[in-house]
Amino acid sequence: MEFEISGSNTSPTAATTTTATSIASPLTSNIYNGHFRNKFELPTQWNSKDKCTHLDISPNGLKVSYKTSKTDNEAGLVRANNPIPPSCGMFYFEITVISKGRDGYIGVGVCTSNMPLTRLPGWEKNSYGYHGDDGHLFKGSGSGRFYGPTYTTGDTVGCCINFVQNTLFFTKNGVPLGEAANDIKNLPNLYPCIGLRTPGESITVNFGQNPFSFDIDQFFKEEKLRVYKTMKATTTGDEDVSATHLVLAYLMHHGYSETVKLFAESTGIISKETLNSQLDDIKNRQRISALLVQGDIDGVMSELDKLYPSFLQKRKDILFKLLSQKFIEMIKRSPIEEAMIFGQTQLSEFAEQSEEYANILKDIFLLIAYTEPLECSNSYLLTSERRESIVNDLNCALLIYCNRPATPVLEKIVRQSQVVLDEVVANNAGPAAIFVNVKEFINVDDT
Amino acid sequence: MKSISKEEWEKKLATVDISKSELNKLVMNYLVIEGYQQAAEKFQEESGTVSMVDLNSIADRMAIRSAIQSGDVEKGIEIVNDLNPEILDTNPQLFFHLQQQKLIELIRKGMINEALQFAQEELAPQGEENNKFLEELERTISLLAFEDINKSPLSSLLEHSQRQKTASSLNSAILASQSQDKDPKLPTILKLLHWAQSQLDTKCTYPKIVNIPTNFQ
Repeated sequence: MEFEISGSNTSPTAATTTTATSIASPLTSNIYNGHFRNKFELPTQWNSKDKCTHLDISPNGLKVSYKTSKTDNEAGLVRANNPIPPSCGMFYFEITVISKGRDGYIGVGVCTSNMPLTRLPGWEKNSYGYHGDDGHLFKGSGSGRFYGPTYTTGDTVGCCINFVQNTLFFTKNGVPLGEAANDIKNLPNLYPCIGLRTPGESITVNFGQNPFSFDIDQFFKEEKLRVYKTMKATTTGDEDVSATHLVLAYLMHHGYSETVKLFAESTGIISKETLNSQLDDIKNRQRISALLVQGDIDGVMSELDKLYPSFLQKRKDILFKLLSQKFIEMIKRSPIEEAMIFGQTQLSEFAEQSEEYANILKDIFLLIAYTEPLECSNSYLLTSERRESIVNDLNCALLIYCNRPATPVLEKIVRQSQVVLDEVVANNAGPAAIFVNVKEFINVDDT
Repeated sequence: MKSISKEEWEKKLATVDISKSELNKLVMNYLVIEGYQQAAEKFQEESGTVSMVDLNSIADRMAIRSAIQSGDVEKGIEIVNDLNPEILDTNPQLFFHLQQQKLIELIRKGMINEALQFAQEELAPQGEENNKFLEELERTISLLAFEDINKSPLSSLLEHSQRQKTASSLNSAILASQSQDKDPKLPTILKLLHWAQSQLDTKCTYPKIVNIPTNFQ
């Protein structure tokens, strides 16, 4: 009982009840939980196979009690079922003291898997513990130092590990008590742990299944801002130039020709000739798309032959799509005999080339069988969506034909960024990636 | 070391949930913050992407920037005050830096008497209220102690980068007054990619993006 932090020892709203659910404040932890769940194997309960024999674990794995036994005063430790993966960036859990038992020699903290089960958290190498009877902090040694207030029956104590900063701190009843360690780097597989020492001591744990009494969300947000700041501070020196080119290529890809013109002129990054040939290319692709959307397949094919000779020979898949679309258009407009002759002479040979073509043709030819094709089960073939999906395929194929990427590089970079972030997390390659989300970054205006 | 194949990677790329309208938003953000007003207006028209800021304000920002970068601080201040007088009223530090820049421009032009008069009448009162301002003022005035100001140890104040610094902080203040981020997001995403890839490099091989184009290919 060395000292008390004023105001921090007030009891939570329902200190005498025995479950974490009922003592929790109304704070929710959506941000924190949203980032964690389903991405990792996290600690979710105490491990009844990794505990000292002096301890009892409740069937749900959350409550720990010290049994009365002959070996009074011998410490007993239990670890959680999973270690904390550093790529989760930050981990927080809380325990609530159900009863201080005889002496309240309770310690909470983290330790590695080789910590003996007859010791309190913090007493051994690679473990950290905050003890209730004296408020001392123990870091790999049997002698502690002043750290925080004592805690006892009804109190909730939290432990937060920040893998980005390599720090650890404890909270009591929702109040943070200040940095307890800044050297947790390179410690493999830290487990949440609890140690009890005298009969009747009993605690329950909250690994995030219930709201916390500490506002971890705010803390999480602060760390996130710090990570963004660090990230923004890195530079390859070329970002600004690259960004200009990526924007221009993006605008061209999607055919925003007037914007392309103005942007290219005010940046001056490409020559007039290149700009004009690009603009012509955009206009050609747009004209072809427009014809396709109107269902004028003959028009599309004659434009393609004129502007991109040998394209259709090289891309039989696109040729097949266009011809089968022509057949569909004929069914809608022309006498059925004409459609049939076209199908037999121009399309049926594709059926021999692949099973996929054969199946598509089977569906399309079925349209002939109906006097009212719009009411048959294959009527989806007649919708304008089918034309539009071909527009898209054709556009991509033309870009590839002209040695341009099928996806704008800007889009590729955005996708790549998110996948790399996800993989950093999944492969435990860094603790900060979990805080960054590309989609959110694009959509939120205050990061 | 773990290796992720190209096919596997392509699949992952395809599952990223990002829409064309989100990418358009990213492009609009770039055009607006970098000050491409006409392109931004046309882009709004062609793509239907709505800008969060009044596109007219881009022109003002660009005019202010070019005024200060060409040494016409007076004109810069005038446009800012037309745009929103509160920007300078509520930001004494920025106002001081603009006045300091004006003093630098007078000294640069060799208008010694005007410089001294301006320093005494306009800047000294601000210096009395703030020690840091006073220090800066003294530093600037000491340029006059050198016959050839370019040989002064403080000649960095005369460099173009000093004007750019002043112009940028004013640009940022205007953007902040419009609740706009001062950096476009796209270059940050490029930094993010670089930052994240260098972490993943320690654990995996994968189809890394190495050359982000810096010219039109």
